[in-house]
Amino acid sequence: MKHILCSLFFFISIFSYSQNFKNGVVIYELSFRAESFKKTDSIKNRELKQIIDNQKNKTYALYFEKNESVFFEEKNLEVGNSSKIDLTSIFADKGTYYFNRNNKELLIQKDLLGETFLVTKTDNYTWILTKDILKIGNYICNKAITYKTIKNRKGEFLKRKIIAWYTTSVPINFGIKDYYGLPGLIIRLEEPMISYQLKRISLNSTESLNIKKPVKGRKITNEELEKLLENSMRKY
Amino acid sequence: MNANSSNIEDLAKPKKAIELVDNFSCLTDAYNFPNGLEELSPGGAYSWSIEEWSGVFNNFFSFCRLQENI
Repeated sequence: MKHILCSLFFFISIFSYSQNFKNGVVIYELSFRAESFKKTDSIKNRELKQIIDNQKNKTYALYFEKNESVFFEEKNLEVGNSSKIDLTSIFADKGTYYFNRNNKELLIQKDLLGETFLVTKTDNYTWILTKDILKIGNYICNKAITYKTIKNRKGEFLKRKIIAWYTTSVPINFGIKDYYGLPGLIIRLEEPMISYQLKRISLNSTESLNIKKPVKGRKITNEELEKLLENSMRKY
Repeated sequence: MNANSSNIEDLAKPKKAIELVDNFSCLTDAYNFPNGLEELSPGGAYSWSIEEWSGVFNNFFSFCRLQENI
């Protein structure tokens, strides 16, 4: 009972403290984790390795205000970028993520198969908060782990480990993509093939961020989208 | 994955057949590319989601077609 009361007090404190931040813009750098790929010496794989090593970093932004947040890629104006093999964007699960923490609504607007979709997702991640601590920049961060379930081409379900380093010194529970619900801002997020790291942050701007819920696109569930992709792959 | 059933039907249509022959080398390379990369990735073969695999396939295919047209 004592533990439950303590936890309750902790979350109420975090929640009330987070009310002090009326809005914020958090910029992350996304990089491809070339080092996580297996080393190989064959000529064919050397070419693949070259593509892996030549991936460019991207910039993503998290905007939040009151009970809403959006997470999206900040477009750069680099000429000729679209002609390259862009693994970073593919594994970043490119799209605009909208979250409303009041009604737990999560919408992902993404372009696939020549169409714009509005993907609705109802389940969220269960975080395991660990005691591991790491200093990243000026922030003391705590480690949290969750598992993302993915369906592969054989129709098997696999679990993928996701690590978030968050700081309670910025107690906001919005997050990168659909990784929300931690007791503090995510400073670094590690997926097996990509990682996001905080670049800069600005809180409590006097101007409203005017967050808009995405409306353009065909409404579809995550499962329905997977079915569509499966069918489109059968062509090959 | 069924590699050829729809492609065989398409070969009966002359325009489609020319398109398929044109794209054949890119299609083969684009099919092998995500498979090779997936094997080297942290989870190994068959560790990617359908969206990731098809994303890499489509990206490579477009890139290959662009290179061939230059």
